[in-house]
Amino acid sequence: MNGGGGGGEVSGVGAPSATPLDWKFSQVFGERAAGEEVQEVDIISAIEFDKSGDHLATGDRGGRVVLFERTDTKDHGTSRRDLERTDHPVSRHPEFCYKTEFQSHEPEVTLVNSYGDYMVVLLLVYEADAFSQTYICCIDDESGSLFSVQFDYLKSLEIEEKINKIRWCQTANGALFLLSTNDKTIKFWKVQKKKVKKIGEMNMDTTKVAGNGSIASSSCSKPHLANGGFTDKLSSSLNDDLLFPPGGIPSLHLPVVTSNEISHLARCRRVYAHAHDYHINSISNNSDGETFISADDLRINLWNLEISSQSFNIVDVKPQNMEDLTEVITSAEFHPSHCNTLAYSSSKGSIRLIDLRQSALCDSHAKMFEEQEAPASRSFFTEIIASISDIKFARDGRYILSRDYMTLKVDCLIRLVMGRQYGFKPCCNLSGPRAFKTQGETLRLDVYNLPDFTCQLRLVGKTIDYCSHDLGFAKCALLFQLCDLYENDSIFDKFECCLSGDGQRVATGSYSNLFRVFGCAPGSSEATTLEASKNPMRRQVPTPSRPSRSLSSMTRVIRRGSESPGVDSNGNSFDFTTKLLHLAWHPSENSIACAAANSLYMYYA
Amino acid sequence: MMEEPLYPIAVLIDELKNDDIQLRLNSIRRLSTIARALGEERTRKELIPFLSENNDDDDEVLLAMAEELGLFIPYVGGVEHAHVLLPPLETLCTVEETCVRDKAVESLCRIGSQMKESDLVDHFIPLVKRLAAGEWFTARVSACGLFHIAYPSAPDALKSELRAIYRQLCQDDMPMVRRSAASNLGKFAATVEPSYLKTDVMTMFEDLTQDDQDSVRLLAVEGCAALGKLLEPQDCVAHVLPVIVNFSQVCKSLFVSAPYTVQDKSWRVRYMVANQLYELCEAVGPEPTRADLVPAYVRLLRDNEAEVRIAAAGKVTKFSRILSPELAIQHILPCVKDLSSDSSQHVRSALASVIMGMAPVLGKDATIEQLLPIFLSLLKDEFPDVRLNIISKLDQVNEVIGIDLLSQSLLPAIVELAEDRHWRVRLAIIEYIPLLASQLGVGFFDDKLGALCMQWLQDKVHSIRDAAANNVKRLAEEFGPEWAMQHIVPQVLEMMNNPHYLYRMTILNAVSLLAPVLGSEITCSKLLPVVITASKDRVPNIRFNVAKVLQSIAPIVDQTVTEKTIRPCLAELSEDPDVDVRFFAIQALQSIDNAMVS
Repeated sequence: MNGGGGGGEVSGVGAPSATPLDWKFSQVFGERAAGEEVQEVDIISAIEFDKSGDHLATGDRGGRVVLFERTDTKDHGTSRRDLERTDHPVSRHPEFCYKTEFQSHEPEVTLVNSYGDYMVVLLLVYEADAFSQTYICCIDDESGSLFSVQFDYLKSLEIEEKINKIRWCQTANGALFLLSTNDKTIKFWKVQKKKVKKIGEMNMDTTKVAGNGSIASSSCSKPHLANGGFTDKLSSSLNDDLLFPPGGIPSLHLPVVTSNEISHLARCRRVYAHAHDYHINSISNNSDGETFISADDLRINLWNLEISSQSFNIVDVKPQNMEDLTEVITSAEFHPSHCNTLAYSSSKGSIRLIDLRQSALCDSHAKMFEEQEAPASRSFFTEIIASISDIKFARDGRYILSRDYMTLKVDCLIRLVMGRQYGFKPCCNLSGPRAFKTQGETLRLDVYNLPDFTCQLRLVGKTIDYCSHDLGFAKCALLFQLCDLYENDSIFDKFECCLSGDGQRVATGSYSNLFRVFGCAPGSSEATTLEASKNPMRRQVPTPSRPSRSLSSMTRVIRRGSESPGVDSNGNSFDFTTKLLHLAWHPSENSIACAAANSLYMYYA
Repeated sequence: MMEEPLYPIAVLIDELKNDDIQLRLNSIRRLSTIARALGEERTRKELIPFLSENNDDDDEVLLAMAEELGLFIPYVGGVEHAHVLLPPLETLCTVEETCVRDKAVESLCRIGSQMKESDLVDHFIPLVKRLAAGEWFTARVSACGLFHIAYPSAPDALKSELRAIYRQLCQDDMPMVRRSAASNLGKFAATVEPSYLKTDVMTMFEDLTQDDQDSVRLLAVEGCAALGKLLEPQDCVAHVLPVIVNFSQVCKSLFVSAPYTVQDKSWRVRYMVANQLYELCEAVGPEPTRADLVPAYVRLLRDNEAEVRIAAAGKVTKFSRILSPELAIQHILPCVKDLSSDSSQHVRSALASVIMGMAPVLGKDATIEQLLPIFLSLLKDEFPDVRLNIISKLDQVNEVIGIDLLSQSLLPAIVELAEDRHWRVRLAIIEYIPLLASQLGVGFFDDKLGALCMQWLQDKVHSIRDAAANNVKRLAEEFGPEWAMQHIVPQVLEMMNNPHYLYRMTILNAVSLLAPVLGSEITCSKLLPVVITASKDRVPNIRFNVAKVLQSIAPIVDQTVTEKTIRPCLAELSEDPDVDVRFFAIQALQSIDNAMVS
């Protein structure tokens, strides 16, 4: 599998991917001392490696973005990566150091788009009457008349500064570019090294006057600009060619700049705002390098990176009547190499694949994959736990990984050769779920070498469906546990998932700061549980040998109350207050970065 | 310390490195001044190297620098020294901000086109090669835009190298570079010898039209018309035409997809084809147009994506003009009929904005028989934009069939638009009233539209009232002062008694607009008294607007009138209790005084 030239050292062709990886602790940033309170704003809410794997970004609830830089490879950024590989032994594992941080988003209060029936054109907000009521100016768009209405706090919206997602963009000239988003606003950041300038040898040597060379220029020029005399004089002299002798004026000289220090400077290049009525849950770059999408609960918009003033709505699932709403968008991602394909997941557990080429508005998806649950196993929680919290394409774009509350699935994109659509086909529908789960067979259909093959997605399929047990739940006590989880809102936690660069392994987080790594290569039964701590293997449990059974059969067999909630089948108790929601896999090496509250842990194998 | 005359220029130089971006920007904008102060030699030896190092500044500053350097040849000692300007622009060609790079490329092209051939070979071509081999995609993107300057002066060996490099850029890893190569291909192709055009350039074009990225194919298609015009018609038919015709097809089903044809599934590519197709007709000549392009265009008019139909519908007239009337009636008109009842209002709207132009192409008979029913149905469209677009092009159809046939259906449409609840629609129709008036003639206008024009002066929305005042003026221009005296002035002045001051203000505005059109006599006898009366208005806003109006009227009327009527009135207003009224009255008095002096 070609991981963009980076897959070589992971588990190469020779190395059997079935061998479970031996995970070791690598680094921790922001480790908590014993008894130290976690500040809400410090909790990490997004993690993302860049394409090369040389940089890592984290976002937190306080709206900050922190960048880390790989240190075990020398001369990063200046020399090409393949050169680095020959220079350094493979035995090194990625090590990162803090690079810089910046405040990406600030909390704000905004008015919702429509204020009652009127379009709010916030011309002025004023506190007018004796009861210190606030009024805002509105325009009735139909008649065009302007009037003021009393400000209603309920119709305003507090926007958290929390960073929901970070995505890296194309690096250029050694500067790093990334997109960060909170609930409403996406920002495009450029982080570059900037020389700290020190200016010497000015024409206007006013050190004697000002006593400080560095501010001399502004201090001597400002009075001239302020009274306008300076510019007038200059423009008059400009028109007079005779002012300057042909050889120039020797006494004038250019400022000499000396710089020795280098600092990192983050500049917000563009702000993409006012396009989402609901909370943005994902952003994703297109492989064309010029566009990206942003998805909220009901809509997906397409942007050009260079144009922040307009976006195009490509998916709109908002029903005419909001009472008819049964499904929301939970996550969306572009295909890593096909610029016209994107996938989005829904709260009902379906993943839809859409083809941007088909139509300007892609409400009618190309293909939908939805797993039908047997009616007998339905319960109050069925729909809630079916909601997909995250989807990720494998780097080669042939597989898609999805995480719902209980399971992690790898699906293959199958090109239906004889049909004109392509999309997901759950393998279990093709050959029965049990056969698949236990044997981990690979499904292989023939690829017809069609002339337009490049525009199409390949097939080849394989599904791994991990039983819920593997995610850290005691299935036997599932229903009781779900009640508890519902009570304390944990059931709505959105766990992320990630794939290794070679697509051979997947990982996702769980409670008690645990995360699990599974092998998804044919025949692999790898399933490792790790804890986000300096001793990751502390909680390691043996891989269950029995074949997994479906949820319904388990609940029937196990009698109520036989095990206490919060304890899994291995007797480990779970702490629902510590959850590992965010994690990311290094694009080319077996290295995982994961967030436990405010701490960033890194592991390698 | 500097001597006095050098002081400003010294400050300017120092501020090249000021912390305040505005001051740096100001200095960069005056770069030519600095250069002249330093002299040509020091500009070459000091200023230009200094600027070359200044590449980590803010984008605004870099953009200004890229622009200034393009005009810098005179300041470095003329064309023979032009090459010293290349290094700073080369660095600017590699920055991440697109607009800076574009400007730097533009400036390089400007300089390159003035450089001597030997200098181009020694300096410019190596620069292009360096950029094309740049480590970052930004440099390679910029390189694509320089080939058409570098190529013509290169010796043969270098020429083939440049072609090979361009080919490489067309296959770059980065889609950004391929996009740039695609959009610059036409310019480059124009400089390539015909013999290589058919071989090298066409291979590049074919590569680009088969790119994985939709956006690259899109740009390749966009340039196809330019490319087609460079080729001999038969080559164009052989190479460009098949690509385009295939792009126009929707891949309906894989069952029918013939092997080895490129059929584009992307509606965006078809959209681009729809926009470009008529240009290609000229390049390929009449026969291939009839055989291939007409069917392709008809397919696009019937595309299942509304955006494609919008683009195709917008080109109906341009396309029909190229064809013979028979072909247009036979193939295009049936599609137009279908489009006029398209489910998408935007398609109908695009059609409405151009369909009028088909009338001259089809001739009177076909227009009345076939086109008129379509006009009429569009004129009754439920979507106001569609109706507006028809009305805005009324003059074109008038030339062919005369207004009589239309006026029956026209009037209801106009009245409906005039009273539309969306003020933007009302605004749009007002814009067209003078045009309608000139087309329909005085008689028709008096009967039907006069009342509407007065009604708009009392609209709830300010923009409408504003436009209505302007409309009244334009009508007066159209039909002359005498007509205006009878049909406009009395009604307008009547409204001065409106109880709401905002409406009175509209009338004041209308008066100030009408005065120059109606001339001194009518102004003095009819308009001025009303304005003078308004100076006693209880609302200060009216009073200071009176001052403004008087200021604008004063130059029109006789000086005696100014002295007798206007000046006393303004004098009174200049002692008004309201500060704003006093301000404008004094301003008006001063302007009158100035006018008298000169």
